[in-house]
Amino acid sequence: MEPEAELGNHGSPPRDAANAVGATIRARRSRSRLGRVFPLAALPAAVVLWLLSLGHVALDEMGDLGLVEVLPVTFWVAVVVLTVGFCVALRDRRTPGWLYAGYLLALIGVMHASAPLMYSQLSNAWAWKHVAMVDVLLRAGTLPVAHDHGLDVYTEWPGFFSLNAVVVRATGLPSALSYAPWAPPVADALLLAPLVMLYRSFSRSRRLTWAAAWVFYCCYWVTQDYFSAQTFTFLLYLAVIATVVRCLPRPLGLPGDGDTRGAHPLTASGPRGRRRPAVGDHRTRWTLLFLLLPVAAIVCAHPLTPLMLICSLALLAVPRRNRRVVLPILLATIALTAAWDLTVARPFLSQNLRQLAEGLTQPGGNASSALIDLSVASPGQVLVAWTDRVLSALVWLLAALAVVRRPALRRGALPLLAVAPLPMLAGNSYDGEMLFRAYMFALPATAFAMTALLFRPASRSRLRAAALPALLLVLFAGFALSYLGKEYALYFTRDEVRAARWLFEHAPPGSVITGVTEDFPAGYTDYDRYQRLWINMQGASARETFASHPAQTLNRLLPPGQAPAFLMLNKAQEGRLRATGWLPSGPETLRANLDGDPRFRAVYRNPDAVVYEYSRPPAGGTP
Amino acid sequence: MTPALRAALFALAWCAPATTALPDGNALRVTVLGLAWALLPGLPLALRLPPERGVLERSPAGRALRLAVLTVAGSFACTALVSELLQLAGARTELRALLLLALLDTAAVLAPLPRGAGERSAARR
Repeated sequence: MEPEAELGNHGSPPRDAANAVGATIRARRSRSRLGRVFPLAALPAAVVLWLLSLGHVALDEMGDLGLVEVLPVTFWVAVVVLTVGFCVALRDRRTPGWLYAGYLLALIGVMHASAPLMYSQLSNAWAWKHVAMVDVLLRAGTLPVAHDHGLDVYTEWPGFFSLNAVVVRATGLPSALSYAPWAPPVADALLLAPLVMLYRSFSRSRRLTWAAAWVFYCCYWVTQDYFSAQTFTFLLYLAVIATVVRCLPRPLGLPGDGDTRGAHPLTASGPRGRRRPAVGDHRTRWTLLFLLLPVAAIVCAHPLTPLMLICSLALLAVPRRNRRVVLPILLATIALTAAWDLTVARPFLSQNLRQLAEGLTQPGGNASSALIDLSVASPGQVLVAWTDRVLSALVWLLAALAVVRRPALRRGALPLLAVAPLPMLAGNSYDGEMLFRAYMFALPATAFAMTALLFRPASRSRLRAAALPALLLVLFAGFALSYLGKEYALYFTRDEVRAARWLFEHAPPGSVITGVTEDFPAGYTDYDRYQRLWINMQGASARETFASHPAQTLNRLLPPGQAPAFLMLNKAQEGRLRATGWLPSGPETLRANLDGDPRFRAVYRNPDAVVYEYSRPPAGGTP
Repeated sequence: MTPALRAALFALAWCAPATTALPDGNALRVTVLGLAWALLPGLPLALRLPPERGVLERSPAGRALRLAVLTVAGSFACTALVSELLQLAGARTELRALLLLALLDTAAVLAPLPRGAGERSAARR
């Protein structure tokens, strides 16, 4: 092409110009064809590479960077191919929706299905805890009250466990353990539809919508997608919010795909002040009536999500134009929550009223109570913790900047949804989790705002085209560190599970089951028959003395009486201790001290776990 | 809702409790129950909702998206509520839950459209 164009410069001007134009058109067509074919080829290639990479992971070599340090190069190549393919797809406004959906599902697979595909056992002690709740419900017919490590919350909000009890019995599966490992990929895949629906209400640009969904998943690092009531109710929450926002009146005349040259799909709106008429007619009434089903399910399954829903709906009801739509569902949510809290959940609330009131006076403490002490953490864990913090701060900062820079964002529901969870930060620490939950509930809105700031679908700039995959790869790297970088304490080997099973088969009912941390598979097995003691939750002094004087410390912490006490120390607990530096000396010293102390008798041992029986001193004796 | 879809959903509603006759953990049993819990009664109820007003919302993709979201959210929520109500009443067994859900699904599939609801009546306005 180029020689012809050059020759043309010396020939007759009209013919040369026509040649040059023809060459440009042909070059563009060729690029366009490549742009359309590449995403179609990159998606299956990335999936195949990812699946092949999972066969070569040395899980035993996992250190304080979790899965990040053991995933093979092919895994990261798959991520690069997937991201570049997605970015190329975003360049073409004719890319079909199914291809974007395929890319997002592949991303979810890479992020959340890798662990269940590689691990032989359910990961995350909290998921095991919830499986144990379902097992007890099936055995006992109800969830017995236990004022032990927050178990009473489950008794008062048992919706999720009742649902799973029916699922297990109806399918005839032996336990929820059969499907719990697949909860993260399934829950995250189910989130995609309400997320896209919400984003389509924010902008008509399909490309911005799918790019924002990608950003959402890359920033969704808070590990709240495992087998839990929070995962279930977050899905319902997002469905309710997406449906309500879709019913709200909004500006008319948004361009089809934001491809008006140079105009952002959010800013190129129609005449200001002209809005779709308020929808208070029968169409909305029936939809809102339908939403009572998910709202009621949220109310009986989780204590926090109904409050987050009330906050979000209350803020959505602030602009006068939204009230006809939002007020009915807001009032219904308040009524259902109050009815539940004053009847079924009343015992829990009346017992914890004082603690709830104290939380109101310590907003700073609520926000920081779950942040780990980096001065004693391992270098890998410091990197992971800083990544969490920087990623979260970046999301908030860029979202705030987006609201300042893009006036169209300020006129809609987005800023209201982004700040809605913040009042909860002032209200309660939620066992140290509130900061992360607030981040999670705000993320659908903040991720979209962040994308609207950084991504211009119509831009032809080569710099922007190159920057987008780089930015998405940086976000993925942040996610990988924050989410997969904690697997050292979440991953359980077959031997660890075997040791825990042995413990509960041999420990007599009434025994005290002890762990240095909660990272203990099946630690809540038959929770109504055993007592539990986690050393790391007993305050700084217990943590400091336990490594050097385990017997004295344990004797001080054990409940009165002569109930047998067992201590399990497993690989995941050791991983947590190494990474967080919770004990003044490492787990190796602790294990040596336990092995050298005659009051701790190793009754079961395998390469990944030891179970000790602790001989209590006789009543009145000196430990 | 076409008669064929109505018949299919009705059949699915009653196949769910019937599958408990199959062996424990049987793949067909798990699949039918999974489908029933994901689609019923959310799909027939969501199909009865009147169409939305905006151009975007009335596009086939927009309608399918809303239908999918409401179907899954409504169905899971209904299953959770039925199991929770039986739990609170101290009467939870899997067969009772499945039969109660099948009755609700039947009502959602077969009940006549309420006045003012439904796509056809809304389209006439």
